Amino acid sequence: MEANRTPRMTIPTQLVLRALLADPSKELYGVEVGTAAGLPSGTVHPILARLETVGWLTSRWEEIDPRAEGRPARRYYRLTPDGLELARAALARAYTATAGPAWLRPQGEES
Amino acid sequence: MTALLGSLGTGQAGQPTWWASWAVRSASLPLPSEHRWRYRQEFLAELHGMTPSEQLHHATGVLSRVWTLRMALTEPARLTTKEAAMAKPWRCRLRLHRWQRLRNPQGGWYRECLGCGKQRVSSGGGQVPPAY
Repeated sequence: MEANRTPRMTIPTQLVLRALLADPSKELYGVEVGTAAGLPSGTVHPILARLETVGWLTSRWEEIDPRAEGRPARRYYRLTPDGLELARAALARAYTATAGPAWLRPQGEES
Repeated sequence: MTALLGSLGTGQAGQPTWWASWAVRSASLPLPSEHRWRYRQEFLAELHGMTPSEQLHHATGVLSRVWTLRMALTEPARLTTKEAAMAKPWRCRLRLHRWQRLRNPQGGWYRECLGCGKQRVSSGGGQVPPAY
């Protein structure tokens, strides 16, 4: 793992981080992250892989009985405590160039 | 054949169709062997609960970006420019942004594109706020 490295803050990376920062305590699986970030299928997993490599994200398999649920376990992602701080700082640095969609912002900022 | 083609775009959400399962299984093949099983399971699990048309969209997207994922796993520091550009809505690539006017906490006005999030500070409007 290449921990403590800062990934390139591309627009999709920022959108993924904003989606995860919207509720840091909530775990999301790949499709949910893509939906929240407004990104097409397939775009999200490479970003999640990079963020996981640098230690900003952690992932785990959903704890379900696949037979009872009728589907395989999903892979859930969430920000690590370090990743939470680093992501906020990186987004703050990147805000002048780009930012996420308004609906991902905290309530009350929109006019 | 009609039934086969009919299953491509219609139907209810639920179990993955054979072709979507096949597509995402194929998508995991170019990945490094240590990651292959994990992503195959992950992609298959994500197909559950989708309609066939959503599965088609999802499987196509996963297949089209599998080399980007492979690069992310093998060379995390390397980034394709396509990765950033392809996710941008076509309207924004043509600079046809859909601006909305917003106010920052300092009271200044700025504009933000609904499509890509690009921001511009309105004249005399102060700084664009950080979101977090």
